[in-house]
Amino acid sequence: MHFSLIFNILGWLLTAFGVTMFVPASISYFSGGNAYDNFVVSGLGTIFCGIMFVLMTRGSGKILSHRDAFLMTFLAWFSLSLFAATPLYNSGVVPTYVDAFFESVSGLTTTGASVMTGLDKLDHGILFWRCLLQWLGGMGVVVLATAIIPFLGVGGMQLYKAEMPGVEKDKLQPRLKETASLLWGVYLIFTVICALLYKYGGMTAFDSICHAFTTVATGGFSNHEASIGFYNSPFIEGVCIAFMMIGAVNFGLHFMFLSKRNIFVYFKNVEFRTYMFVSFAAVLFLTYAITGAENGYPTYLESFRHTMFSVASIVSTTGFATEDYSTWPFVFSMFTMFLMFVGGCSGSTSGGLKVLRMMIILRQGIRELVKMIHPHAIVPLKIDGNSIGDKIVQAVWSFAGLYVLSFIVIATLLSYLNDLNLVTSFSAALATLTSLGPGLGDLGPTANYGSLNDSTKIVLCFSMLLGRLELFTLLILLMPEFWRK
Amino acid sequence: MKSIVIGAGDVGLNIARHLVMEDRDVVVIDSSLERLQLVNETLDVQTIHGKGAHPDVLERAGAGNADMLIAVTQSDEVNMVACQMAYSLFNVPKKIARVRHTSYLKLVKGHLFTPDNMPIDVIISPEAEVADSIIRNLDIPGAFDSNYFAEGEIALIGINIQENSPVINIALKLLTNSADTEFVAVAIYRGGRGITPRGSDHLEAGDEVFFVCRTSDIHDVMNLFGFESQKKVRRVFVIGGGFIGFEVCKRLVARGISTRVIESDKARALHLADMIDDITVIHGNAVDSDLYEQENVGQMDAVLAITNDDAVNILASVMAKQIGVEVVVTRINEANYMPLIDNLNLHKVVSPLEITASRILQHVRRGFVHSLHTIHEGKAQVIEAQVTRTSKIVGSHVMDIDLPEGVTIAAIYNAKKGMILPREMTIIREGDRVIFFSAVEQISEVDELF
Repeated sequence: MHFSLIFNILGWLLTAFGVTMFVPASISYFSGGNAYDNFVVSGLGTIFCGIMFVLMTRGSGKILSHRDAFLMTFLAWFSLSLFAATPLYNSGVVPTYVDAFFESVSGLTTTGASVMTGLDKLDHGILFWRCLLQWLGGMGVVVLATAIIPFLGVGGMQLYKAEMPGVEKDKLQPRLKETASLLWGVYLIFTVICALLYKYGGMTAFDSICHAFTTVATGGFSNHEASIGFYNSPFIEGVCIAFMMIGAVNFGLHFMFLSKRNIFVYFKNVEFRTYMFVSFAAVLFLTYAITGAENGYPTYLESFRHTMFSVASIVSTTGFATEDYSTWPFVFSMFTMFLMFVGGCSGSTSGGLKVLRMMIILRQGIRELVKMIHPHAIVPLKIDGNSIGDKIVQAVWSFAGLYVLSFIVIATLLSYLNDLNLVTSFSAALATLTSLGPGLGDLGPTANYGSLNDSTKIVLCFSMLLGRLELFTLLILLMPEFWRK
Repeated sequence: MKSIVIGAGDVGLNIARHLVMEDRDVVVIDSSLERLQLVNETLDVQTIHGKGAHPDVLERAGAGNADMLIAVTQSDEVNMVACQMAYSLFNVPKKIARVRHTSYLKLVKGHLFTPDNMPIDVIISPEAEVADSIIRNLDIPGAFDSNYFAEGEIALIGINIQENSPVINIALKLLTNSADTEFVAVAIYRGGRGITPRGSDHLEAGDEVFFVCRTSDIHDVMNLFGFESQKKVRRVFVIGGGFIGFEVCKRLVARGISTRVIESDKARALHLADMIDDITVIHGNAVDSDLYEQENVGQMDAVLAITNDDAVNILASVMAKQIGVEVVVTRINEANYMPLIDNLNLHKVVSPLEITASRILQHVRRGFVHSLHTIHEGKAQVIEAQVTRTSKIVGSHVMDIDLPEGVTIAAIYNAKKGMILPREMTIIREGDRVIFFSAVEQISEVDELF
């Protein structure tokens, strides 16, 4: 393990991260807030630590091995969360450091679960910082680093693999640096368009930027207690739905669309088609199910509007809300729990198992059935006309197995540590693991994670990181084998 | 600057590595996922899974905006078809193919490989070149590397300084002044680190030195370094009769050298015996010490261990050294073995991959490069470049040229005067060829001088 190199890269990352803290600092200062000094102090502290790491280690000469990449990626996420929490804690908007850490992990992992209350009256610097964290975490801080840090070379590919969600992690361009820059470029373009539309729809400039950050990142932090429901505007809801879905689609596909200027690239992709089909089917079914029901809505139009928004928010694992869907008929909670599991497309900013994995799992099941009927048949598993190798099928299955196992362990821990009921503990475990944010039951969209005790919050932080780094990157560090020389 | 490499075998991988080192965008195509995974783990390139000659695969690799395609799969036919596709469908400017079969190679000088028929700009057939390089190596005792520039008039020789060498601890300046023969030390590698030689530097035992001299002076310069002229090679034992072994044997026999070749594959051994006259083919294990004794290997003037298997070559070389063979040439593909080689005292190493890469890189450059050789596992290159009227350096004194760090002018070649040593006041004229030494990181800056 090349600790020296790992900490060197980490040092650069922290230094750059510290510099970004001056953005919320100036926002706080110019909007008349009083948290700017906290950001300046934290920023300087972070830069100092970063520079210390850089000075004490040697970066060049060695190449990051794949083991280093796992450790490096975890350390990057962990340390950035630690430092990101300092201005939140210093400014006193949260009572304890654990709360601040929870908030920053929830931000960077684009979960959007919050412990903070009274958002509408908060310092603009603090609000901006939460949203910026989600935006940075959305496309991945390590991917961003590979675009910026010059000396990563081949090791960068290992980092890219360790952080990027998805099944097959191909490059879009010959060079990793360009691939990473492209992904971030596409991400930036969508963010800008989203912000302009929000502004057009009636948000303030500040709100539109913040919400664009958290929409395209499928994060779900809002500057208002009532989330997107605050605006009560069908236009803003429409923009929000569109960009949540865009954020949950493979960015490689977006890149192809932007470079070829041909909308059909989306429809040629079977994962995209399946994702859209499932989402629409869910909206139609749930609209039908809750219209006229007790706690539902009287008219189809009304329930369609709210179901559409809630489903889009859930399948893209964003976590915005217009209505408190946890009080709707239970079929909604039941059904959306499955949708949470699936999440968005691979290579997107969303969480969950990912549609592609789910498709592979289902088709493998069908394949087994066909094989039982024709024991000697050769049945390939095809996605978009290409055979998927058994190796990938195995990897997908083991991922799904570990995912379910992690979910069970976390849910059990939650009910043990905080005496939560079945729906609450299950949904909280899922909502953090899939980076959705708000759960169901006692932790629904209008509720807040602040009431939980510290140990529960730490378990949830672990769950969020586990989900964002797609299990393997974090679980591999728990293997004794990993540390053996 | 995008290059597509088809075939992720040893050769393809090595070429891709060199291209990446030169800061080019590289896409590698192969039909084996395992090979591609290996490529992905070692290089910052894009990989495409599929058959390299298929138009849709080339399309996915972005052949439309590539400026070069290098086809080095195992199959001559795939390589040729890939070039045809690249030309007809994607208009790729430069197409390089590896073609190994003699039946095709006979036609290289004809009109087969022209845009009208088979549009391939450069055909490389590494076996022949590697064989040439091995034979050259036999000619110069003590050298582990020898390459030629300017139509063979200038030689670049790599040697290891022995402990009893008379040049140890003498400043290079004195060495070059005192000698009757002219030579220029272009690079010294000491303990794996490169040193740009200056007049005040002196050599130590164990140094790896590359120098440039007139081809006719090689033996005099070698004497100066303490390598005595050795007796002429008359009897050679070749281990391994594969593609390269075959070419080597043909050349040895043609020179009238008594040649014995050992090959472990029976069919291949029969084939060798059929195809080459006046040769003794032995079917047996390449590392069998009883067999070495039977065949009197200890009495041979030289042993060439050139099977496809690096490990066998190393083992056979060590065994040959132990029974007293003085000249042992070892073929090594994997750069990983290089540190081991130094410890085992095997000095004459031939690396087919490096030779192939050198040939290809020479064509990667813009038109001004006449020849190019990579040294020290590709970390540096020696380039022979043509000075044209538009070159930046034309008409300037050598001392006035602003060379990047790590780049030196080794020699200048003038068609009339032959090799000229670069003195401070030497003027570079149009039509001259300049031989540069450059670390691989500075290659693009060297390009700008022309």
